[in-house]
Amino acid sequence: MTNPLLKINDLKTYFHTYNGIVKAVDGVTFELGKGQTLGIVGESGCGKSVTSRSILRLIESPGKIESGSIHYKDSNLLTLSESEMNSIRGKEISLIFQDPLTSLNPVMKVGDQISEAIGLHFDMSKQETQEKAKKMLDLVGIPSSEERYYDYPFTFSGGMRQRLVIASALSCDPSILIADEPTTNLDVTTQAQILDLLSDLKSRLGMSIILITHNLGVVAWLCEYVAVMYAGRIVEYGPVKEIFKNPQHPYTSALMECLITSDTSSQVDSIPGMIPDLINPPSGCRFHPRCNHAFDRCLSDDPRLFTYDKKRDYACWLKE
Amino acid sequence: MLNYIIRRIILLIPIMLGVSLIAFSIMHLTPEDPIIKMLGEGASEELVSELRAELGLDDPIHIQYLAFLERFFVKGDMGRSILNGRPVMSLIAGKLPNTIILAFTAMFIAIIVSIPIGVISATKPNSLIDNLSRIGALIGLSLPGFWLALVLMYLFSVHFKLLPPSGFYGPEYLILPALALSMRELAVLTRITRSSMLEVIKQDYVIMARSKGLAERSVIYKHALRNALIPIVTVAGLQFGRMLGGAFIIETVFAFPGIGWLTVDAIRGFDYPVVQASIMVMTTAFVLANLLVDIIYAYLDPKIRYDQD
Amino acid sequence: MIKLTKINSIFRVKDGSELQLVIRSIRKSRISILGIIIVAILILMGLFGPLLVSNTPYEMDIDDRLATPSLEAPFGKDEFGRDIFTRVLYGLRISLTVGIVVVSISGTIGVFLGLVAGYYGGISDSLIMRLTDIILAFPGLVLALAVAAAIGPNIINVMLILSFTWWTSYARIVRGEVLSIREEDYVTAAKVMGVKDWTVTFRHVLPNVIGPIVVFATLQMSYAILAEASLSFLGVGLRPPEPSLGVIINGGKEFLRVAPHVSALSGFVIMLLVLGFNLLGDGLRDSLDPKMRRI
Repeated sequence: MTNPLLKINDLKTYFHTYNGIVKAVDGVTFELGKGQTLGIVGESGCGKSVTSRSILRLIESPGKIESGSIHYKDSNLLTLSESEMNSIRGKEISLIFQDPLTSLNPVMKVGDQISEAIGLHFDMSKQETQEKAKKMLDLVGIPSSEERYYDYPFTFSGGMRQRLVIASALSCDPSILIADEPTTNLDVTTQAQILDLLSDLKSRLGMSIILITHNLGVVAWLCEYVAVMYAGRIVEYGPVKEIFKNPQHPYTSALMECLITSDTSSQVDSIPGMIPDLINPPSGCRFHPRCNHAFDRCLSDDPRLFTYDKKRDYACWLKE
Repeated sequence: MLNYIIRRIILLIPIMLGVSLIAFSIMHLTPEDPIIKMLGEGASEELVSELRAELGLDDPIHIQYLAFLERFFVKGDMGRSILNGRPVMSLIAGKLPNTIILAFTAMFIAIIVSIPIGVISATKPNSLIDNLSRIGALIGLSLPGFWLALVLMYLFSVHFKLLPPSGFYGPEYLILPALALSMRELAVLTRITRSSMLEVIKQDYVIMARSKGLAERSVIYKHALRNALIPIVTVAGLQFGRMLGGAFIIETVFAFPGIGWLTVDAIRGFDYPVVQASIMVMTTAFVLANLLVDIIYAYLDPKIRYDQD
Repeated sequence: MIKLTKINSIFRVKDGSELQLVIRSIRKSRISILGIIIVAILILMGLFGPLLVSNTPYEMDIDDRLATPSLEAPFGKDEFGRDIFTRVLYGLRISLTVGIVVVSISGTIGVFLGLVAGYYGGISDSLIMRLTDIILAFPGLVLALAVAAAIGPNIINVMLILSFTWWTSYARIVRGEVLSIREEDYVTAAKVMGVKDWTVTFRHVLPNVIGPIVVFATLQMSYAILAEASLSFLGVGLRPPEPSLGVIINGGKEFLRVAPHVSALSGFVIMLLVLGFNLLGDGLRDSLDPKMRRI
């Protein structure tokens, strides 16, 4: 990719717990171009959320970003000072979470929560920030923004609250929006509405999106590129159409199969076996205990990402 | 919110009735004749029957109870102290403000120290301050109030002769009793600030606030503490109410002229009119303080404040 | 097909292995261990100490009044020449006895009333809850103080008063659990199948309620010990010459200037004892909290 907006290289984030070191993100590499939407899929616990928080350096002890680099425009985010990072957060790169019920401060008016970010990054009068915040409310489809600005979060439904969170995240016109499972906690109808909203905003504002989800359907709908994560690593990465048509990694194929056979919005409970222990991951290829195609090399050697077709990468010995 | 408050006030009625029943019956709990207990063995027949008539002890018990209720809630006249003949309510009116001042001072000390320490403890877990404050809080909880009072008295009044040991003739007389009284609240509030902050810091909206680019200080004080304060304020309010009635041990040790010491003296001297009246006053104050805390809590939690149901 | 779980989710455990987890986490918690050690030492001292010392707590030696601590009298002598160490040992016994009795009786009353209130609901629930409110309307030890003075200051009365006013927390805990259990689907299902209400409620309430009850009981021990000492200090609990720790401190308070050790040392012992139970209670609370038990 020429001139990527975001370039992550060999990112490692470990958690130092009582029971051992949890290697939540263990060497993740990918790129994000301007205006692109990248989906990161994987089961719960595969490291996708930790990756997204690492980008904004929101990892708290006992977690620590051990090594790697995160290049955004010209700088490596991992070398910036805290205050430099603060001018990136919210303004250049924004984050939204999956649970709209807990993402908003319950004792603060919703409008203020949006204008807070605006006032932080731009030199505007209080009046102006409020005006901009109300425009954001309109943009995400909150009716009567003029009055609703002054309401508290509990007066909004789950779907509305997610819109508020999106409004807050986009209020400063970031180049990248990281959406961590934005629709998982919503009912199916509301999910569709939010996805519509994101798609609409995407074309209107031209921002890049990293969409984290375990739902392949969402990826198919919104994303151009997809990275499949397993046990803290990316096992397959490339354009959505290619991967869906022709998955190379056995894990990706297994995920696809589940999508086809079940109707539920999540297909994670159909792959036999347990997610690996990230303190003591399996030797060799981490997927080998659950892989139908595993052979001896898989137990001893850890596959790196190979490039296939010059268009995408995957990490498996099968098709070497 | 009005509904919420009205409901709480209505609940007060059965509570106060129950409380007054108990306060009233204290006098009648003794196996011996209460009059003899109050006046002493050598009292003359005349005095005994005079007092008995004055207190209405010849009437049937339910009449006595109703008269008691009337005297406290309507007339505000609870008779005279057996020990010194002064009107009970004026005695109490003289001492209650002192206890309130003492409780306020103790609470002030406790809050000023405990909240910052609790916040630091929560935001820098396992640091020196965190560990020291946790141990300190545990020790503070374990100290017997009267013992701490004696220790403070020994150190500052006897040994170093810095502060007066008893009475209340100026602000310096407040220091030792307030310190002793504040210790337990300090410990409790530090712990609850710490645990409340720890809970809140984990919440998504705090991480969201950080992801907006807010400086850590703003995140902690504007977002986290504002939410953590709700349970802290509740506990602080309850503790304050408790102090109004529970300061009697400290007051007794320091001979501080508050309602607590008055009550203890009256109990030891079997001065039943004073005992009944002061128990009623202390309990009423406590109950009202609880009500106030409930109202403050309703105000702080927007869900209750703006709930139109 | 095995259901996948997040690494940091709570694993469902059967009741049997739940106990193992609890014990394991108690062993890991240094706070609990410290509390257990302190309490154990003091309990042993209270139980067997009196048998090992040669003098009785009442023996006076007026010539030796207010003697400072020495080898034969490690805590010194009080205002009547009595050996303070001996009196403290007997005082420990008194404190522990009061604690255990109060916790047992109030626990029994509280659990029973909580079950009744939660199970039968309606009027009995309202009555019991109002009674709770009334008792809790008296701040601190005021009620105990007044009643103790009225019916006579002695150890039995103190224990009874405390037991009959401190059952409220147990009742609340149990009632809360019963109420939340009643709503659960499996209770309705069981009822439909004809299983007696009582059995279902009992079997599901008890395991969930044991944790908070044990934690509270431990903390209540420390409250009871402090309460007895305070009441005795004021003269409405035990009275001299009984060797209650509160009595000892009270006796020494007149002599702070010349012999601070009398009040100081016995107070320190109370503090240690209470601290031990507080540490134990804290440790237990942390061990029994499911969130602390994983990773």
